[in-house]
Amino acid sequence: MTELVEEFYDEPTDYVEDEALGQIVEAMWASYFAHTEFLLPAFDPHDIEGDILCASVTISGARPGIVTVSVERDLASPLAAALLQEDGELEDEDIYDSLGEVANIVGGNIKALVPDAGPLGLPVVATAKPLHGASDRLAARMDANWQGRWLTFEVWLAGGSENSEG
Amino acid sequence: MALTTTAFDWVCTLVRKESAIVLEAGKEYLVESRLVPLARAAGASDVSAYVDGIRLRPDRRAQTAIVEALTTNETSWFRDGAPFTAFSTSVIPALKQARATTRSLRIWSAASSTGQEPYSLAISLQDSLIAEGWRAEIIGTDLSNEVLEKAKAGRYSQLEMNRGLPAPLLVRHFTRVGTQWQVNDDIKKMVRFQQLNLTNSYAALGQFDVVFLRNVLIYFDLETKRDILSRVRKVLKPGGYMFLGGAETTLGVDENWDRELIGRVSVHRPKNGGQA
Amino acid sequence: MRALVVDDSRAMRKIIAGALRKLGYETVEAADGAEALKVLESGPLPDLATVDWNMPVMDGLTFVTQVRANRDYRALTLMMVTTEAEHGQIVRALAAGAHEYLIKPFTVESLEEKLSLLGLLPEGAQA
Repeated sequence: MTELVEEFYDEPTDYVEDEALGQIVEAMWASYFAHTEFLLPAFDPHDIEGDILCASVTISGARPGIVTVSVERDLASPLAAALLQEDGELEDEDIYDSLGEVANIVGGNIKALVPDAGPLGLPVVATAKPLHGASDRLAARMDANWQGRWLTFEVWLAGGSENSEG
Repeated sequence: MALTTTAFDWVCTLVRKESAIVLEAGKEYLVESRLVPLARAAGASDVSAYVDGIRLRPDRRAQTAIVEALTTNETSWFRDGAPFTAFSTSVIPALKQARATTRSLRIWSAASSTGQEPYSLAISLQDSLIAEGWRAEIIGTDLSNEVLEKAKAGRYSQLEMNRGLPAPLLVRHFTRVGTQWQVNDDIKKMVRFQQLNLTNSYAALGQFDVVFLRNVLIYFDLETKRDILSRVRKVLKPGGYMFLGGAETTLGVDENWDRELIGRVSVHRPKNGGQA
Repeated sequence: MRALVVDDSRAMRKIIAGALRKLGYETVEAADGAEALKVLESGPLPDLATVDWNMPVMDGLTFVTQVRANRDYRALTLMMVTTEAEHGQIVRALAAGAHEYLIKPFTVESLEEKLSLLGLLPEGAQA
């Protein structure tokens, strides 16, 4: 029991920072979205107004957390079309799947920065961001603009004192 | 928007004209991803816009930058594969015999860029000779201080690590540091980096058993190529080996080399044992 | 040459299968390890399988373990293509019998190069 408490003297931002998140997102863009417009990172956080679609993956293990990608609702379909390299109207299933894969890729690479992480959860797509526990900290955030619309990547990790058994 | 056919065709023609390298249909993704940094720096909205801008308003420097971005593939580990296989399976065993008394080798990576080539060689040696108590020294040289700094650090992004590095070698010789991968110390300390312009003297480098001079001669005219090859020959020990890039040859440039085939890989040996 | 693409994301299956087809492969897909095993049982053995790690029903590591335990599938080359990027995970995958490992995100270039390392680039394909 004492060991668990000792592990939590560090802060999530000790291992996951905005810069790392930025590098991961840029690498993903270079690999799968190079044929489209650039992703333009914003200097300041930009909270998306209106309807969003949010894909999230959970990180389990000693320092559990969640990685999310939220997009303006109108952005979800063009984003999926770009990833799939398909034109025209997409099925909802493909839109959710594509956004989920974006979260998967970012989440897996973020997870690799967190010591003693367990398996990555399967992506979950919803119309709102997931709720957070009181002890969760926002370790990293990236806001970016693509085709004139906004995306937000967030990394939340358990931090501070004690954590419920996980 | 995706790269237009017009833009892609124009880029292919430019690259073929300037470098003799042919980009075939299907390589649009390559052109797009390689030109992104240039297009961004130029303030274009995407790669197509960037290319069209230069196509319609010719800009010599921009054209050169495009050609370089598309023809430099040096960010790959064990680039082209076969030469490194030839190195490991034929050259090292032959040198083991030839240098059995000294039990040490010196290798020159003469266009070492960001370090993948010399570290690939070091990895090949670590798993064979070094394990048996041999010493090896690899010198990596390049014209650019910027790439040398990166090479000295030995730290690479995940995208770079995906390029041609067998997974078993990745886990054995690299450690994660944040989002990047760091080459382990035992590999790192086998390689020394220094700046060198190939048109300058090689006197300070010493003598080598193997020289890798791959895909760099294309940047020089015939006379300079000739000069470089003859001076490389002088720093090769008798019985040494030189590796050139896939499409490169000494034929018609310097007749003082014997060419041997190891599988489909050409290696060049100084004629008459070398050091004429 | 034939390839089996195993990934629970349709987008990723499309990206990988599309790249493999451009290289000259015939491709078949499965959305999880269990489906993939069924594909292996029911058809000619592919030359290559690309395998995601985190999938429902049966994950990629389990699939790799099962394939390598079956002598009938000895000639199948297994390449994990996954977002699991820790050193330890790569070690686990190789220990379970995966032949190669590609970390997402990957470029099509790097996929080709991995295939070249494995000797699985069809004749005439551009590397």
